[in-house]
Amino acid sequence: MKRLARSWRVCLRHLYMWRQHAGASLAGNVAEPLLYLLILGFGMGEMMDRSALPEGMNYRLFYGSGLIASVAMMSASFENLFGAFTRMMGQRTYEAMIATPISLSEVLVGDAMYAAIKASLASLAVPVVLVVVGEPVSPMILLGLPATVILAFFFGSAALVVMAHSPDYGWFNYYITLVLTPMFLFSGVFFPLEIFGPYAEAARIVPLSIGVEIQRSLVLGQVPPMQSIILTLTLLPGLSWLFLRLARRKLQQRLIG
Amino acid sequence: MSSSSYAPLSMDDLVITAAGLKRRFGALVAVDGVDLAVERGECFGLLGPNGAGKTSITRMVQAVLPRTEGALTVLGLDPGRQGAEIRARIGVVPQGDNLDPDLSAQMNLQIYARFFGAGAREAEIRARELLEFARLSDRSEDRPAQLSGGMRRRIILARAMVNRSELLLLDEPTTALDPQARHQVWTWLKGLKEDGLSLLLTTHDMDEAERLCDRLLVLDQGRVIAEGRPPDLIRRYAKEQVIEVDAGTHWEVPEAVQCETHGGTTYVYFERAQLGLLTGALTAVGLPYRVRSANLEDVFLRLTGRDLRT
Ligand SMILES: Nc1ncnc2c1ncn2[C@@H]1O[C@H](COP(=O)(O)OP(=O)(O)OP(=O)(O)O)[C@@H](O)[C@H]1O
Ligand SMILES: [Mg+2]
Repeated sequence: MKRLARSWRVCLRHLYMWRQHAGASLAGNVAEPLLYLLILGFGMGEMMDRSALPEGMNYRLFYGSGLIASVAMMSASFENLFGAFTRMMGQRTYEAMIATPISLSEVLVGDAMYAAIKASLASLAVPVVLVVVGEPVSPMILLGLPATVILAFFFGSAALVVMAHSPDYGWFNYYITLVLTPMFLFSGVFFPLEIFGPYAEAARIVPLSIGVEIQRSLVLGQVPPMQSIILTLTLLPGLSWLFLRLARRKLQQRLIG
Repeated sequence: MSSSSYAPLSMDDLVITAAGLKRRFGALVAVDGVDLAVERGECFGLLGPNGAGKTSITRMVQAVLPRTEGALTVLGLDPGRQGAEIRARIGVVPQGDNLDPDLSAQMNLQIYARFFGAGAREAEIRARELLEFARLSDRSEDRPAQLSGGMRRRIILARAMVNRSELLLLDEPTTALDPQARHQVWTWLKGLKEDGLSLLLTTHDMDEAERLCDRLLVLDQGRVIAEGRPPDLIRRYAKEQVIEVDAGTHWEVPEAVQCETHGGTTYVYFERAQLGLLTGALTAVGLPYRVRSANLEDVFLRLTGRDLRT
């Protein structure tokens, strides 16, 4: 077996576990964006002025398209914070896995793959909900799936670094409140980045913004900005690779010595 | 073993070799220059008090823990460079329980088999076979928490065989098992040895070591302090027989015999021929005593028991 094949076996294990309670998990994936869409899209959205929004969009669709990316971010992050930490510490699953031909770095890649798959499926629920509530979603949104997978893989890898350095679950709060929540609030999910004026360009290279821009264009049936595509193909995989290495280095110390 | 035919010929009969093997954790030297050679088909024991370095050695052999210094080969391969190949061919029973708590017994084995590269169908069949072998087929759908400690241990043992390993590393496989379960594991291990597997067995149970190990070494603070076949070690360090006398009493121990006091009891090690002399002396002073044959526990206490480790 090659390295990637071994990581895939790790991912398969997680997928099997997930399947055991997939019903509840998927219901949550649909229910959550639906709730947000109801509150922000139908409720607050009614009070908003459309002139600040891109052509052809109401606030519901604007917010919903951002949610496609942010759901991927949140889902991948939470999986590889809480899920991976539990596997590592409480359940000694990492220890059992590295007693097989699978190495620690392959286990981590498998974890990131799983986070990417699970989070991408969760994020797919958003356009489905949008269509169900009658929004004109372009079928081009399906082309956004690879970008979602890359984005989720990136956040899954970042979460592994945080998890690897955390002494306990409590520490995740620093990452969640200091990194993930601000990113969720300031990456163009709720309002266009143009509001930042001269800083808009800087805001566009924040990882979540990259995903939001891509999904929002595709929802409208437009080709996403070249910069977002390039960053998705270079910056995000590059940082993912770096994060996986950092996580491995820390866990090597922590689990092995 | 065609898969190991490319190994150097001299290595072919040695499944593990170590020379000057060292492992440091910061300032602590956990394994301090250990030499070791485990022959194919034998059961080799690692004995030593808590913290002696047994698990560290096992993890280096397992190609999980990198060594700090020294030479090490496992199945003729280098754990530093060929870790995945080594792990593919060995089975590990870790110290403690690391079964997957969210998976049934069947799935624990099945998914583990997949980690070794087995296809889906093959893994399912292998897992069933092993559960059968562990006499746990009727509990295949139970999760670890629903099984007894002994049953979990059997599943862990079965899991170590999922890849038809040539070498089993067993780190305290019977700790916390009841006598029945322990005997069952011993029977198993003997059977596996008869089938030609090599075993590296760490244990604190001297009875277990004496029953199973062809050869063993005793470690203390990372160093080898004795090595040999159990009967030879007993002969060398504990003679043939032992008299136990409650301490706090005094009597002149004849110079010719060796004795030691541990935890309120004096142990006198002697040759069978000296029995009359000693019991005569004890009867004369009216002290109660017990006579028994020397065993590995005596060897262990003599070698490592001078101060109690915490
Ligand atoms: N990952 C690690 N980091 C730091 N120190 C370690 C690590 N692993 C082991 N040690 C130390 O190395 C020494 C040897 O430990 P090891 O686990 O090999 O002992 P052992 O002989 O298996 O003991 P026991 O009988 O209690 O299982 C101990 O002092 C232990 O604290
Ligand atoms: Mg140990």
